[in-house]
Amino acid sequence: MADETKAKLLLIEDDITLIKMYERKFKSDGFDVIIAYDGLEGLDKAAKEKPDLVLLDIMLPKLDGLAVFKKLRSQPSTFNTPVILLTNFGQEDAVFECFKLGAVDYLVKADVTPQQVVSKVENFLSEQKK
Amino acid sequence: MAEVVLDSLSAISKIAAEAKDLPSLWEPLFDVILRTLQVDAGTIMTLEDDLLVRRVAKGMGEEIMKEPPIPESKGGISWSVVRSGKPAIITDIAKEKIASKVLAASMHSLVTVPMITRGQTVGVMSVFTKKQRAFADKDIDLFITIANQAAVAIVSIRSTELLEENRRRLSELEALNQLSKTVSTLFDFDETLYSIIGLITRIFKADKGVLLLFDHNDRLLKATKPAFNLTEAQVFDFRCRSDEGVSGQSFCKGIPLMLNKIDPETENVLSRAKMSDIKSVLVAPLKVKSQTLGVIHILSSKENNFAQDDLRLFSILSSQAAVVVNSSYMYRDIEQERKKDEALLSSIAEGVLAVDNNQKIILLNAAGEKISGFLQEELLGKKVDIIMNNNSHPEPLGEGSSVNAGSADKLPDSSLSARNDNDNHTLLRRDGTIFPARLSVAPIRDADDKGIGKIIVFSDITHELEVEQLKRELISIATHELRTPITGIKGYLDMILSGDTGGVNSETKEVVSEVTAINQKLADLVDDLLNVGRIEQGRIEVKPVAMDLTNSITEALKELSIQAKGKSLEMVFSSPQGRTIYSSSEPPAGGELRSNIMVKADPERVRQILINLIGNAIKYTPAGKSEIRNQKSETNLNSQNPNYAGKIEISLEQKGSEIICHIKDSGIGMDKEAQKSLFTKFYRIKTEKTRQITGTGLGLWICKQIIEMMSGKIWVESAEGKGSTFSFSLPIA
Repeated sequence: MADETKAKLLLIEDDITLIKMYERKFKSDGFDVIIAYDGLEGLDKAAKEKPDLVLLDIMLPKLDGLAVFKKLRSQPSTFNTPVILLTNFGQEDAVFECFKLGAVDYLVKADVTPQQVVSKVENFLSEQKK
Repeated sequence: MAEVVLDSLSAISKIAAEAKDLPSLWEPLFDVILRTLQVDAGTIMTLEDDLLVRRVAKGMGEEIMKEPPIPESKGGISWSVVRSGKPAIITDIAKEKIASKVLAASMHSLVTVPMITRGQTVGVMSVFTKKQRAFADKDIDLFITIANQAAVAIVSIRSTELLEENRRRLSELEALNQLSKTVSTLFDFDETLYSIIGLITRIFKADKGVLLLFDHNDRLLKATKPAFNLTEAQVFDFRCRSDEGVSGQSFCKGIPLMLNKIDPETENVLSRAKMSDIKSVLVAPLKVKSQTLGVIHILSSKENNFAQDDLRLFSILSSQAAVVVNSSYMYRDIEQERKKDEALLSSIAEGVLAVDNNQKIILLNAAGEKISGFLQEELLGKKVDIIMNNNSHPEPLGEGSSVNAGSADKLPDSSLSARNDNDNHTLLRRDGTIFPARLSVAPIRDADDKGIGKIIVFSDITHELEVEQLKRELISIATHELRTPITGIKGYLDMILSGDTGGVNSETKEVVSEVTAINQKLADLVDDLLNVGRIEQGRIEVKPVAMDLTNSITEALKELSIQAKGKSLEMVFSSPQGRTIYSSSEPPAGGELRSNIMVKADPERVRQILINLIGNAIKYTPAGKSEIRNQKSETNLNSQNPNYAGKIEISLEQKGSEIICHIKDSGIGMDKEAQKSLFTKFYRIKTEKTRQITGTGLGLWICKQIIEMMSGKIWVESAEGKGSTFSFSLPIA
């Protein structure tokens, strides 16, 4: 898949360690990665850049993931943008809330390898193409 | 002859009228009898209940008086006279059966007549001759007359004696009465004892009075204060062995003794105490129940100061003294206990508050005063509400869990729960501020086990709570801050391993895998700590739904299959009917075998529990057969058993409205002691065999908390070396 032009991802995450890691992984797998470091920036970039998929952290500065997700669903420009939640252990409540509102999937960061995140994203996008 | 008779009779009436006691009657009477009847000897026996007692005798030696009284059952001449009321005349004593040996040996003939007055026989009078003699009728008539005159005199003497006896009894009663008054009105035992000893000393017209108490340590009888009329030095020096002198004799034998002349041994004891002037002693044991505490002495510097009669009264009075001595002992013991309690209460750091059955405060110790700001004096007799902050907290004196109705009046009787500890309370200070307190409430019982109040031990835990809060925050921050880097390490390592960063040779791969494993352990530890923190803060939530337990178990087994394979352990999961649902040795046959067992539980939590329990089973089961050949260094049970194959069996069982899941391993097992502590925080079995096994000691505690949140239970059955079976139950959906 490396030769094809890959999809555009928006990663909304505040932890620099994880940002650098996911960015490196996705880029090496040929994805176009846009980074947002807080909830407001995430909303802004989601509207402007029109990514194919959003990877959304729950605990975020300025606006938390749940609020970001609700806002994404409430505005026409991002209404259909698929969202995969990147969560930490113990955020099941927020995850449950997002699922009700149509989140695609969720990943517990500590439990998955970057490769598994990439696979999940790839699987979703290829399903969507069909 | 008639003249003689008349003379005699007039003489006898005079004698009888003037006699004050039997001897003063008998002496002159016998002279008259001797003269009138020409006999050699005579005697009087009086009737005392069913005994004939010889009172006086003349003309037959002293020995006769030592012969015992004659009971009615023994009969004899005298008794037959008493019974018939008629005289007996024996001319040849040798031919008769006669009770007295003295008489049988020395006399030949006798006449015995009854002594009768107002129709009542008071005794018999007998006369004897050494030579055989036939008494004339007139002699016998005269003798009967004399005897009856004597009877009148005896009755009159008796009345005087009775009067005398009554008077003595009266004085005893008076003395006793005086004593009892002293005993019951005085609470100061020293003073009470002093007045008792003084009183007894005065009653017997003696000079000194003193108690000697037995000292169990050196086994001596020692004089003790208070003493009447003894100097300090005399009290100190008046001591003797428990068998020495009259004091020792009285103590050992437990009887009162009288000494009107001092024996050498007693003399010795007295002289040691510089009391050589003492000439007569009364001593009686101080007995309480079966115990002899010591002896009481009354001492006089006069010889023959005491009469035989005194001994009885003295004995009675000394028993009263014994009661006081004993009470004083008991009182001193109680007093000592009380002082000890007081010292104890004031020395402990916790506040101690005692209330009676009406919730009124009866005690507040020094620490309690310091903590609460109240003084004991201010609180005594006040209701406990003054210090209990009852507005917003659970009933502190009740069963802990019951919600307080707002008043301490309704304290449930905590007789069932002996003690009752609780952290979750607040108390009021004197200035009205509230402080968090740890309380421990216990009932106070009297000797009959009747509840008479409650004792509340309390401490201010403000600082402890602050520290606790800080600790929690620290753990929470630390764990969150640790998680991200661990996740980062994990991700990068995985990228290296999957070749994202270029080719990796096999050795690098091995090392990086090792680092990954170490990192995973770190991640597990952080997870456990996070879980503990959440559970403790009540932030963990379970959302029970109807879920298929067989599916969860199969998934968990698949997840752990790599670990199990690494140790060559077989894992088998069978249904309640015994069918194999999953076996690590054979690939699953497909969906057909799946039987749904629905429980009401939170799927994610169930997964967590299963991973933990099955993971433990793998960890604590030694490697299977194929593995041992390669890893000789590992200490394993199976080294003794070549056929050993590690196996983990998971089975389900339906019991009532619950499903029970058993996870049975063939591991090292554990003893009863370990089983008890197994589900407590940070507990790990520490033996040679477990040294290599890593873990935080939190997993089982977390499992227990989560299972209980889902209305289930968890338990273990195990024996050392025999493997363990962990079981948990969940409600059927």
